[in-house]
Amino acid sequence: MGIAGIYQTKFGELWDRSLGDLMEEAARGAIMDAGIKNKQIESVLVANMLSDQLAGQSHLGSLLAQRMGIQAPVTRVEAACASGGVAIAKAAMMIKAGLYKAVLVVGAEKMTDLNASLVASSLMAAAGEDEAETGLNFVGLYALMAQAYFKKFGATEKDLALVAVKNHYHASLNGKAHFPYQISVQQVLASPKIADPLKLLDCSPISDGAAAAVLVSLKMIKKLAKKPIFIVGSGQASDSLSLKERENLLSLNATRLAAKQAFQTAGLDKKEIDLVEVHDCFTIAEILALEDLGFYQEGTGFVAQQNGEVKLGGKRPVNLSGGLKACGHPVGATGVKQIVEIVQQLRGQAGKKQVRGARVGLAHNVGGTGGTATVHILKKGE
Amino acid sequence: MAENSPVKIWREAKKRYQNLGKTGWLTWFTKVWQGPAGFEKNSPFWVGMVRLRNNRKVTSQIVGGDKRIAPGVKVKGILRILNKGGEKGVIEYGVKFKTI
Repeated sequence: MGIAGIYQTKFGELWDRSLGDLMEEAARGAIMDAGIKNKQIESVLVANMLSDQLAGQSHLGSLLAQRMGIQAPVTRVEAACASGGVAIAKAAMMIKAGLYKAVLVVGAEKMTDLNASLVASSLMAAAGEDEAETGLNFVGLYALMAQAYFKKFGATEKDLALVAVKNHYHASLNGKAHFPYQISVQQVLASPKIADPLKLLDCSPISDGAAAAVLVSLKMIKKLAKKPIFIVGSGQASDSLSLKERENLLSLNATRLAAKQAFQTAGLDKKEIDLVEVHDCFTIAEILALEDLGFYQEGTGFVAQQNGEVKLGGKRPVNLSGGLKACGHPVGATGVKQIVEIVQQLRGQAGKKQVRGARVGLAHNVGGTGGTATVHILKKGE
Repeated sequence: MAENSPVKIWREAKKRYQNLGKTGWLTWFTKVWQGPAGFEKNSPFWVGMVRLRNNRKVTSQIVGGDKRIAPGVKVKGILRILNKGGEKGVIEYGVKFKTI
């Protein structure tokens, strides 16, 4: 199947915009980009995690239907921070199965109406109850992974800081990013401690925002686009909710399984991937993801941050949107925004952050500490 | 952390104390400087993963002082208040691990 339309709202602290406003803007934007009419959308998936708690509204399907004036089935998809990636995977399945010719996926989250401490507690609904009871939040859980990684492979806090610096550089080229400005290694290292060894600037922010994509059948994409973008690989896998149930803390097995599925269905090798969007909720997460996706051997992902090959202009740039770290992390929107970034790159519409000659891109989305993971591979039509 | 209902505390009571008195070793740990809602007054505090003698793993707050917390240190499950106050006034007890 192909991706005919994409749209991303500005990410950030959008105090003048409601959840409904953001969903509607993204949905209308993607449909317009696809060059089709509302009535051609046969099904809609809305990716969201916390609207019940943070926005006081859980019936998002009906909310979007009312605003868009559509009567097609609208279904909410929830898989924590991987809600967007899972919605894309399910939309792709619907089209592949021949159920629909055009499916709209809208990912959205409105997070800044409440204070950060309450939002952090709400997010712990994506972790094990035993973990939440200890006072851990997601920073603490990923801090445990970072401690294990440091001990085994000798990486340092400075290596993690390089991830944040690189992703902020990319975000400085992205007008829709939450933090469109650069930071230094010194600023990261001097930022307040949250959970050792992670500091404030190792963490993705709490953001508002939405993103949308219109997935269509092969027949339809060929009519709509001269140079279509195809989803050629899709993978989704699960793992335990609690970290303590894992064999080790150095790898997310769900990512490995999802990547294996995606590469198998695409029939492509990792060497053919030109650019990657990975789930860098915390700086350590980007390093683990690059290893689990197979781009680097275990224990070497942090070296790639030192030599610049993951930066714009490098061998295989990572998180050109700015990633979750600097583009922002409106939870339900994140997985869809990654797809938006890849499509922009493959179309040659990524502006200052464009990778020249980009043909194949990969998007990786994670829920919780790896309880859910999705991987999608997108390819530009010849 | 949201206040647990008395019913939930009662339902989970057996499970809640199963590690009381058990010993094991600290594997991975972190010092949480800014805890989530409900833990602000306790910050900073230590949380770690403990491998018990029966090889089961537990995630728990680690008490006993900064200087004693290190990889592989021996720990023991002790009774502690996990949460108190809230609208229903329930004092919630559970197990934390202390360095020994």
